[in-house]
Amino acid sequence: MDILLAGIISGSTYALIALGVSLIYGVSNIVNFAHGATFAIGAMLGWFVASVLGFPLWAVIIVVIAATALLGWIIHFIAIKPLGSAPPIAALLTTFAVGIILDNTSQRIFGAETRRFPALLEQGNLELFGFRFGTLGLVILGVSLACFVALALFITRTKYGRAIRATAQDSEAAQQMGIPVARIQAASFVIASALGGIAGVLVGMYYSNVSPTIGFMAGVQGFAAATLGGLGSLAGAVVGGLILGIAEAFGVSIWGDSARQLITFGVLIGVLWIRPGGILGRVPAVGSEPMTGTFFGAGRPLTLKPWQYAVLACAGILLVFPASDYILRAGSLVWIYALFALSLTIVSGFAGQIVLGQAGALAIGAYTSALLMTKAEWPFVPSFLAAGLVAAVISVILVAPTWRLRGHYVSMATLGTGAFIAALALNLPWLTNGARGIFAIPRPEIFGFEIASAPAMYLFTFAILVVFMLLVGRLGKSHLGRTWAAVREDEVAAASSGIHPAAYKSLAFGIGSAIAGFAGALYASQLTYIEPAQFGINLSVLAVTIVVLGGMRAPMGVMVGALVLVAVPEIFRPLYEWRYFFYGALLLALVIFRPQGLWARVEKVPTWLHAPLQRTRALVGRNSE
Amino acid sequence: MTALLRLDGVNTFYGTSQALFDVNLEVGEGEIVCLLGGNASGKSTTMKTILGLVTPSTGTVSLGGTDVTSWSCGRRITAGLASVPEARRVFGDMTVEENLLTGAYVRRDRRGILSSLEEIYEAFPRLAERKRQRAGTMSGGEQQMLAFGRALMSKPKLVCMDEPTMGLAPIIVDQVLEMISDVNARLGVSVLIVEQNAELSLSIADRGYVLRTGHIAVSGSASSLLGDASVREAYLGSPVEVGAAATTSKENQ
Repeated sequence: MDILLAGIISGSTYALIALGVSLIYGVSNIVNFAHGATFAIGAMLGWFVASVLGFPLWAVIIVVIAATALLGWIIHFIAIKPLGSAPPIAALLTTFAVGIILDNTSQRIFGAETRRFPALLEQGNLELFGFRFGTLGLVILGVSLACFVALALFITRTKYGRAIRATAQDSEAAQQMGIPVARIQAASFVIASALGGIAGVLVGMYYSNVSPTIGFMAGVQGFAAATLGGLGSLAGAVVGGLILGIAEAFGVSIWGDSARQLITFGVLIGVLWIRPGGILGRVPAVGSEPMTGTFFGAGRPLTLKPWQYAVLACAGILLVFPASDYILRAGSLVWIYALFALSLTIVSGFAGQIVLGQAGALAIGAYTSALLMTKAEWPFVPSFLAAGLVAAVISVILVAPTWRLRGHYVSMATLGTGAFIAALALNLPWLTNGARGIFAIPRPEIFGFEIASAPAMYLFTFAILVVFMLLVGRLGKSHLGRTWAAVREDEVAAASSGIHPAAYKSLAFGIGSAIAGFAGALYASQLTYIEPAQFGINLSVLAVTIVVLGGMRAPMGVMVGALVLVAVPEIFRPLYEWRYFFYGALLLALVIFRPQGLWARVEKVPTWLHAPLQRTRALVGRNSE
Repeated sequence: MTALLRLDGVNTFYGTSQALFDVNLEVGEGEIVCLLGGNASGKSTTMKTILGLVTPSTGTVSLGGTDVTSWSCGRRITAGLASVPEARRVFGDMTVEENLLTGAYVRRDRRGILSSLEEIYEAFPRLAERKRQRAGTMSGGEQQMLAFGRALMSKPKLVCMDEPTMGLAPIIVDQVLEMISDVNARLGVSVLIVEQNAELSLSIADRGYVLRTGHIAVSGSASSLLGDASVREAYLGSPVEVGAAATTSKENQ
């Protein structure tokens, strides 16, 4: 009984988060990946106002609502509005980037450590029908319930609520009724973010601990609950939140606290597998997802003459002589990250699928190779090959059922699987040593030569990267590459030419994951030590940022991207603490201003710029006549 | 008398391709005007230009003598324009009454809105019977009625209807046309109908324009257009040169 109650209480906070996710998705067809960060800021701000300023509970809630509502408006203003009529999938990356920026800003402001949330209520207990209620639980339930009721009344009874629903159902028709659709979308961000902020305070009070890093998990819990209930359905969000909360409470009581993450990710992946429309949502909702790939279609990879490539390669090799061991170790890491990002050149660049959990494949590769080398005492080469194979097989199996879906659903599923894999590494101590990680991973050894010195490792990783870049470049130009391009540009058209899109997306993901697995094997041997915490969401973000920066479809781009993103903060240490903030900011700026990346020639203007350009041209043309 | 709606030398582009070429069009007070044309003739673009969903590169759109070319759709609705979108586009998950109230979004007078609601229910008793029903569960003809009622809720001077008979059974088409001319006569609301179904829509209209590959090919009174053999040809998009204004554009052939 107590477990059920605990489940309902935490479930009601999930429901608050999920409501925001669903509201924004309904109105704008956008999954707001910054939602978890908003929640975390609500929690941290609540802690600050309550413990540092000593405000009472009601004042804390008001301050947090005001601040997070404003934050919601800002998120819409910087991440959504500038995109204009770009496909909603672009917003996936911008909100994701804003989330990273917010998380890292909050860590700089409040400090990364866990804080004690002050008890704002006197503890009391009362018993009713066999349930033991704490005042705290009662207040959390009460506040959540008040929010549900207020939102339901607002949505069904007021003019603005009707406008929100009308926009959600058919934004074009709503516009023709005179509804200011852009303002309604901003309003949905404001409401959703305020709900997220309230949830942050409630969760902070409930667990009495807060830290700026809780946002990611809360965001995923929100997505999982919203997806479970049916994305876009507000009633579904509440139902999904409660079910998830209850499932977690029972899971935790049986398997312990670390099972919480596994359950959340498991629910998210499971729903996307079995019933992506959720309990109350309609399954064909998926069909409304616009085409994904065309968003990055604005550029074409630069090509250099063979001698220019040769000069670059020589420059890469010759760096060995002047550079210190420190620089070379950093350099090896740069090439390993570049190889890791190369996996996304195939999946995201060629096949057009935005993958947000690629750190999962890297982790599988790293663990496979590390375990084979330390426990089974395999030599490096077979371990390396096995790493790629195992990463490909596991990733493909976990994500396979998702390929019939598109856009956001793919991104959410991969985000879930990536986090699921990291959670597995933490929860299988008999295999992975759990949180302690694996030590003393041997250096690579090929044909009897041990590659241990910094210059050797540098050259080795560089050579492997170049080989894979050539292979991937070749693949992009092959028949297979063209088939991927067809799937990316227009799935329906591809399918009507006899291509089976899901199979080709899966193939791209498999090859990509194999490359990430190879990168994982190198990563393990380079660092000689791995632990689950290394393979978090930040690493997946890094991979995405590298390919977006370098140019989605240019294998050369990963080199440029990795140099800028990994080498620069490594060399300028003051930047190091801020690097994730910097990644987020850069990703945001790129998606808005230069979606084709650095290593690309602008082939044509992005489609959403056509109309204004044409107008200018027409004016110029008329004047010159 | 200033026209309610006036398009003056409008040129509209989509990307690099020009959809409208020097379109001139007028709708007077109390008139029913038809804009006819086949597929890809620029009918829907004209409608979007009027509603402010696309902005013309050159030329002006004016409402009641005021230049509204740079106005947003919402501002034009407030100024007395209303739209019945193509394929009706009622809000399927909302009730009939909620749909109607959404149509009055731009109005602020609570009492006026309620009395308009009563007027609509009086004019369309079928909607009154179904006010609590979800709009998506109604038949096509009823949805067309609802879409029309929803447009009237903003108390417009001019209602723009994009293919109101599309996808409806012939018997329902007659009812819809009758409903349009009835509302026009009773409330004095002007109606601009964009249609492929030339003969039927001209039967209730005062005047008509025929669009062909983005140009106004012919215009005139409904009866003269009905009698004009070339209208049919223009409407079908046959290569025969029609009227003095028609110019064949190479890029669209």
